[in-house]
Amino acid sequence: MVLTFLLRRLLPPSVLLAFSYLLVSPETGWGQDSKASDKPLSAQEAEVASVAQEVLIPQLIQWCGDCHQGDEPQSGIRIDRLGRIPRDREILLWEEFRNQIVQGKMPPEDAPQPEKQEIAEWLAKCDQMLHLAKSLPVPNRGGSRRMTVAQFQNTLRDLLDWQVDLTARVPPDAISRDGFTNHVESMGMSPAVAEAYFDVADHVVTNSLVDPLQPPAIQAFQMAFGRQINPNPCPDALVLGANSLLLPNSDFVITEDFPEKPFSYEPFRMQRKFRFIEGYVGNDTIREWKEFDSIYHAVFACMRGTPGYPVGLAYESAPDGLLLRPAIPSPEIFGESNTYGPMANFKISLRELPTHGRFRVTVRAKKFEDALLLAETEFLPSSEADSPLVVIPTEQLANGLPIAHDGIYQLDVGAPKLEGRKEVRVLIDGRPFTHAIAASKGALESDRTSDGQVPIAGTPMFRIRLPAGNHRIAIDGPGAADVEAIYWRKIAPSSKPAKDFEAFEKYGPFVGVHVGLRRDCGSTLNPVGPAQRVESTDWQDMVFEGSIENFPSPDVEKDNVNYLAGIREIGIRSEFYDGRPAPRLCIAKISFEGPYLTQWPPPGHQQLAGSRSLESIDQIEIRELLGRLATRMFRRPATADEIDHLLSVYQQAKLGGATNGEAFRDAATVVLASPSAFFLHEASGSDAAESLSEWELASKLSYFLWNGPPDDPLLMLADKGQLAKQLDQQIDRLLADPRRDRFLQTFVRQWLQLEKLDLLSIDRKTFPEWTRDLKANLRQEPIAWIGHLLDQNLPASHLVDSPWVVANEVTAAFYKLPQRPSGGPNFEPILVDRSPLGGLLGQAGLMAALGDGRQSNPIKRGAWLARKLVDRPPDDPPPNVPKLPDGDISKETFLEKLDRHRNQPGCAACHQKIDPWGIPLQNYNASGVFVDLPSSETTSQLADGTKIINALELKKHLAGELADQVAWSFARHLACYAIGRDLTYGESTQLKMKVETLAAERYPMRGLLRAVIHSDAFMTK
Amino acid sequence: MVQPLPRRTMLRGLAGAAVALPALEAMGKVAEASPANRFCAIYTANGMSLPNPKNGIDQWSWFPKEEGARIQFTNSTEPLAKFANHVTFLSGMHHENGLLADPHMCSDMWLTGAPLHDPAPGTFNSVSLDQVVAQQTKVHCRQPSLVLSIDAGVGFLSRTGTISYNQEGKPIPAESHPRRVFDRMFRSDPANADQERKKLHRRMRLVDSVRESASDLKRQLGASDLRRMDQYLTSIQEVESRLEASERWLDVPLPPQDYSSLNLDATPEGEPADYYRNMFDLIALAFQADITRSVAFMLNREDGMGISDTFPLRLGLSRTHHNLSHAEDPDGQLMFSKYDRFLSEQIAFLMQRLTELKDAHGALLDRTIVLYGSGCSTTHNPRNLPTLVAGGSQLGLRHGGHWRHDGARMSNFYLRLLQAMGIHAEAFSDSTSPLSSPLFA
Repeated sequence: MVLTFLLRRLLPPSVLLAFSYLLVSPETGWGQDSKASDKPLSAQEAEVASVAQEVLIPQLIQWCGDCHQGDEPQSGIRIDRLGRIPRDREILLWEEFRNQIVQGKMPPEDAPQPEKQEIAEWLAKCDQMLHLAKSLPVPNRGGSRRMTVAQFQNTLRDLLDWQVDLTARVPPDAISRDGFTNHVESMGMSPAVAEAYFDVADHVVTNSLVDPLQPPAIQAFQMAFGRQINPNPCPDALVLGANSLLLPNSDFVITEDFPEKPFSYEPFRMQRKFRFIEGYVGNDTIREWKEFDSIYHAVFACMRGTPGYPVGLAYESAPDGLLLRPAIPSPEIFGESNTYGPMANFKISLRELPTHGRFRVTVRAKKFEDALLLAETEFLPSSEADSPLVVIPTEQLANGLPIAHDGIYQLDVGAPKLEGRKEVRVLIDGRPFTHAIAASKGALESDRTSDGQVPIAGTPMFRIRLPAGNHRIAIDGPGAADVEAIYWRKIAPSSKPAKDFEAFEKYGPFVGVHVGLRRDCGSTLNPVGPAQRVESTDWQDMVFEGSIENFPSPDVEKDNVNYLAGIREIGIRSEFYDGRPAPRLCIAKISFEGPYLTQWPPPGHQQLAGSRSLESIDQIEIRELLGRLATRMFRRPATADEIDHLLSVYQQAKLGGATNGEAFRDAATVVLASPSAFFLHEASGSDAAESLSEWELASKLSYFLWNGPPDDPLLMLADKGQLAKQLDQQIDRLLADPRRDRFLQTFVRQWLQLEKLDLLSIDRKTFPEWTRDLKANLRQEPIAWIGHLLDQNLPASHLVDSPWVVANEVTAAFYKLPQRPSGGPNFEPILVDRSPLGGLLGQAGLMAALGDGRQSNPIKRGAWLARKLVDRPPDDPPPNVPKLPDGDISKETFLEKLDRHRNQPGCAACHQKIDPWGIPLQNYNASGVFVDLPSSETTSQLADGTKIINALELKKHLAGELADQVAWSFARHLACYAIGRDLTYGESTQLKMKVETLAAERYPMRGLLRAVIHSDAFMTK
Repeated sequence: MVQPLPRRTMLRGLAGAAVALPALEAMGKVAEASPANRFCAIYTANGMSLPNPKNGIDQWSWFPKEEGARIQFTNSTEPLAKFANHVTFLSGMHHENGLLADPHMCSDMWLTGAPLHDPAPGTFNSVSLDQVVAQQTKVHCRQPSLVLSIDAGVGFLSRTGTISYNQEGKPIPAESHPRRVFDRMFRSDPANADQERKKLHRRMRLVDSVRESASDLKRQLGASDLRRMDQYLTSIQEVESRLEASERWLDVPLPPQDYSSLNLDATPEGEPADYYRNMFDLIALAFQADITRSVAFMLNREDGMGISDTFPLRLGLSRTHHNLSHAEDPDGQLMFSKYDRFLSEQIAFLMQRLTELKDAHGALLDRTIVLYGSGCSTTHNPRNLPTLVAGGSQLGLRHGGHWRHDGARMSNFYLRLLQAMGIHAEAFSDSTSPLSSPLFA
């Protein structure tokens, strides 16, 4: 460890990377030629070896041997252990020797110095040797690497329609030095991993195969909503735990459904009779048996969430449905708020859901023709009115609201005697609008009626669009008794209030479905696919599908005696994004069906075993089925030997007394568990570089750009031998497919170390806006950004500096962008041209993740930038260096502490490669937001002498002078990810040349990606 | 009559690899087998007695008054005094996530430290300490772990009935009745064994087929770099030898033990002491027979759930367990302390049994780490978790003290415990570094 550290101090990072690889990789040892040592040397190899062994090394030993050989070499450099022939990364080490000697750094001043002449001769020989060594062919012998856990999961998903996430069953993949999980050197294979892959194969086969002759059981029910919709409401007072908040029994109806299917099935009837000993009165312990008999004790309409909706009611029953306001996230921290989830947290709570399979939730929803609730100061000035003020005393409301013209109206209530703040519900044609209002404080002078009177003061309540005609109007609610009159007047069409209202009513809320389980603390609800926009004011059915095993299940035993045990939840929300006023979501009914099947046997079974019952088919058909399955899973034609082997597995099982189905299950398990299925192979015939086979290329491309298996078009091209010829079209096709998100999510997350954001616990007292939802959205921003750059093929400098950002409603509100996107959770490009934003450094999630959530951390940021964005990795910290105390509250500023720390001997040299990058980033605070600071706190000098005064200058510098370095860093990381290993010296040189040809076009991002794929590192084996 | 196993059974498998073999006295020779390291976590809900000073009953506090290398036992813990050299009190520790969560969740997270206030998407809880131990020790014994609780099953999240969670964070159903535990752990059901053997045989056949197809593939790959494939083949061979070891367990009879002390008819509905002692006796016997090396036992449940809430009443105390835990008055607090004393007596009984029962390496207690504690100090207070560590002197634990670790993370303590167990772990839950404590000096 110490040796490695010393070595790291003395050598530049590129060499270190190579060198530490040599140190830590026992499989490689020192010289890479150790394995090839039995082979006769080529003439060129012999020449290199003789110069190195006979001239250069003996001289080095003479000069440097005192410190650099034997068991305790300085800096870990052992001249006596150099390979016979410098190959690949050892070339870097030789180049470094050369540089040290040229610059006179070695031997050190206090050691005997060689003669100038000697040095000159040695250098000449060294250059000659290195020139030859660099042109030596590097043995290229293909290889095999295991799929990552995610790749295996995606393989099962794409090829076998297996939707259940099994990644938790497999030990997680290790992370390489560059942050990647697909690096061949870091992804170990242990018995635990081998066993886990085997278990997964067995599990998938066993659970995918059904008996096609046995009809499935299907659970289907619906909950319909509306004020007083239920003619026979459950007579029991329903309670679901402490602070139970349930929809009135009269306002919903549950019915079981019997959907039409093209196959026969057994309807699953939910249990209605129960016997519980506790839990049926709040959380109290009762310990008294009680019997229940109603579906309403099995399925609940639960609204429990965080109380205190800021404007209006979180929920309200309309005549034809349930109105939901956006689900404002709550901090969910005990002591600061309750922990029952967001404000407006409607869910169906129920006792039974299927244990496996896909399910479908259909929400019949519409955009409610809603009123925009007003603050009590939002009077309508006469200048913006289009009609005189009309006053209807409360006792005359029965006559209705006579509206002469279609238009937008403001409605105020006159309640001068109202005390405090009370809810008043106004019903217009039965549509409810509830608002807590305060006593009227007096109308504007201009608010006189046509006869010049202001009879009583009004409180602004809402604006609403009304068609001409006489509308029914009524008021009730706690404040209604104090309401003496209703005022209304038409809003002038082109006025600002009218425009605001039009923007309000245009916005379509997003409906989201979530599934989880009930508990008293923290939400377990997880989204079932993305939220969907409800554009129309007409009913539409929004469909959400998921696999039930991917959601938390309570796993309580069937005979649990507590009323509250094992309750599942299906949450339906109007999703909250930036908090702008928006029409409410109206839900008429929610239907559930699961397992959701459109065919029987289901697709997973058909992919594995066809659609017929296995019991009735003969050996020839079995052979065909197995051959087809192996070809599918191996992503290349299965060989006759392989199929024979599978058939023997089948026959062996039959001999042991297995049925056809059981025997097939065994053989199919062997297919899935075989290393042809979950390894990526590149078969090589010799040390020379060979082209990938078309099948290998198909998999290499798809596991790079989709993180999953090739699809039929790719395989068909491979089959015809056309894939290499159509590479660029295929790259574009793959990148246009939604599966490319899996590449972006994986590559960007790992390259930029976004997992640090998952672990970040931000100081919520200082940064209260950092909710769980904000964090989740900020986490997507870098991924969306790289996707945007690739799609638009923008120059690589946009990685670090750009007039554009991508934002969704949540992040736009957080960054306070002038232009607000309206696409809910979807990111869209926005031209902001605000220098702190634009590029990765301005992304709050990244900057915050590189800190502790309390203070910004220039060291972490600097080291990250050096590694990730300019590919100049600093050295690892030496062991036993005390960390800077996180979140220390002493008066010393971070910079002062840093100064104290790095000025210790041994620290300064490394920090020189880190801190200058990080200090200008101090402009981003611990939550990643740009703050103006005096330049004394943000000025640094880069290693090359460039002075940088703040983050904005740093961005400009990276995007300008260092653009080629940034482009290279992206390409280099992308290449390592694409090939699942480090680049060799030759590959790196070749890729660099390819990248340099893009300089004139300013390194377009997709061009860089293509360069990676076209490089030798990718295309040869 | 116990048949000694042939010696060569021990030597099959891969040279140099850590092959799982039954390490039983039944094998005639045990010298080769490494001694068994065991872990037992015992949980009591609703905290411990920390009487309000104004009530003047400090001598009933659960924590010893002073920190230091000598324990001053109190009325609540006095039954443990005879094991003074085998126990250590730790105070001041907490779960960081416990501070953020609803305090009723404290039993759910006692052994896991999971962020239950803000669970990661799709998760339930995270793996518990006993299961991390089980993951490592399961290759040596018949059952990975024994999960016990006053109420069978799992309860439900936020009012858990089990303190044990698997790798995926799912609750592991607990057994509550001595007879069921005995039947499952000590009685091998021939029909079950047959089924088990069938399963193992199928698995062995399939793993063997996979290995064959891997070897074929290796031939196809010819001159390629085969390091990863070789590593895979080595791994799959080891899986095979593990399966063989599992199969051998089916044939290894349990060592003869004296079951005469057991009353398998004891139930939670009966005498509380009788119930706990039989459960503890089963734990000790299971350890001695090396049936398992990891045990978790939830003595009672949070928030007055379940039958144990009534135990104080059955012992002649005035209120239920949950009610006593909330008591502020001198009488109630005294009663709560007396219940703690009752629990101390039960723990002392377990220690007695672990001292009396021996395996080939001596008293069970010396290689068994017993962790006894609660997820809150007084009820609903997630700081200063009451923690007692017993046993494990052969694992490097230095007992006899009371050490304060104010503000230290439980996860750091757990990480250090794992290391003491000889388990290589870099982290546990939200640990930052292993706890340093005179206990582990």
